[in-house]
Amino acid sequence: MTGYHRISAQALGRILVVVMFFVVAGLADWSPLLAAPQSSSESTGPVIVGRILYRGPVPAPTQLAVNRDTDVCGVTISTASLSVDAGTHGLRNAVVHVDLAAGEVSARIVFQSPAVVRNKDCRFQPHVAAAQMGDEVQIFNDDPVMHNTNIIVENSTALNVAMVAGGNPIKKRLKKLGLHLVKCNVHKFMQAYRVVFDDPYFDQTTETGQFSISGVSPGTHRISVWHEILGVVEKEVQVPARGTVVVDLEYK
Amino acid sequence: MRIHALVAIGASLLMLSGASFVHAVKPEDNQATREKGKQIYEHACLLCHGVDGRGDGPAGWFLSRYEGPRPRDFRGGSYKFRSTPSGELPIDQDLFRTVTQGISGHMPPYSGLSEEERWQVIAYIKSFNQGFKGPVSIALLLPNPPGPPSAAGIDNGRTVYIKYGCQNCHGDNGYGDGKEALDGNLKDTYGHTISPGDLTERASFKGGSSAQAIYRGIMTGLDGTPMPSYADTIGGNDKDVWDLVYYILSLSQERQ
Repeated sequence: MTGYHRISAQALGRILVVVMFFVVAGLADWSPLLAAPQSSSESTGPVIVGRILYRGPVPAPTQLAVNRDTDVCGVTISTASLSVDAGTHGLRNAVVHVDLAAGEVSARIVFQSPAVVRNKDCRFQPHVAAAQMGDEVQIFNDDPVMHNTNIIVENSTALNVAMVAGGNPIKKRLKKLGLHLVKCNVHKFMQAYRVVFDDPYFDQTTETGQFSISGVSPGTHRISVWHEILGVVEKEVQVPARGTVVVDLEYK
Repeated sequence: MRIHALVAIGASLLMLSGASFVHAVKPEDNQATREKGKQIYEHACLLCHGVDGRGDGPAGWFLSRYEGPRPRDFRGGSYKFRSTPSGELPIDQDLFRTVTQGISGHMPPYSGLSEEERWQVIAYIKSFNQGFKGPVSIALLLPNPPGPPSAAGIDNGRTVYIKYGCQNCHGDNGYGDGKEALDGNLKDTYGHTISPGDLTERASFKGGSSAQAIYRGIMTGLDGTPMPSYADTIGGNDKDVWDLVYYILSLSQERQ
């Protein structure tokens, strides 16, 4: 009777280990590892969309004199901090945030693109951006001159790093909440903003003032909008369990 | 002149590199320790740093209401003199060093307090900032000088000084008269105009004038001021950093 093979104790042990592995693997919840990277805008649930509006006067950009490195920066720098779409009155570079409901715990971000601060043409690019605390901030210097990137939060230094020409990018974690003022002390006209939240429910308006925020729990929420010149406006909104709620806010 | 400067710097390094702070009597950071620290604080620190540690004590308000540097705001303000990366809180040894040495031209040294008393007041100062209850910041690696300075190294230090833009604020010859300083562009985080250190004058080195202290200041930057951290920029190129340190020391040596 040679159709059967005796299984040794050692081989039996190996089989048991393999079987146990698959049993344990089956019981374990692998979804956090297997799920595709997901940003707040891709999550399911209700979506808040809208437009931030401004119908007031839009001053002409200020021309600031450049006091050094004019061969790279130019003789003057134009600062247009108020950008409004003529057709829709949509306000660009406003940061929109949906506050958590009372007692609600922030969802954890699985993946978030790094926040970038790029020193380019003697400007910080982008001029305004929002991020979540813990995100990586990557700082680049594309100019052939030295800058420093001095990030200040509530009169306190969050980060101040020298950015020499041709140097490597610097990568740090955002560790402070709130409005981050970004300055270069070598070129005093360089200024930008980052707004850092401890949850993922934020967006930055497009050139036509539009925003979209998803993943918020149903219920009453307060939407707050920040703009570097116009300040803050707020509005309460009822968020349904599903579907899209449209909210427009206007700076008066 | 150059040889004289080298010998003097070398002698200074020998003396200063041995200056360490022994913490044999650091008490446990508990309520009793903070209570004792509070009593010391009210006699020694309150006049400048204020009742609540906001840096708004009567003397501080009078001295620095309109221009910097103002006394440290212990509640959330930046700490200039640290061994930690930019934006981080100092470690205890940084605070102990500042309390012991004082800040040249601004804050007296409190070496007259016993070590235990200094630790007690530090425990109380830390109680103003909730951040100290979190994870302790990791200090940067701050090595000892690799050896005595050399003429070639100091020459390279001059090159590094220009390459990394030190002259923008400190001036071409280190007098603190760089273009940004002369134009009044240098502000602290409160918007007060401040002056860069005069590198030809040892008393101008607020974080200490030893080689290690200068190295530390270059690498960590001085938070709350325009002086940035160079740790990510020239970290790993220790020779350049030490050459720059020796060049800076040579500026004050030649003036003496």
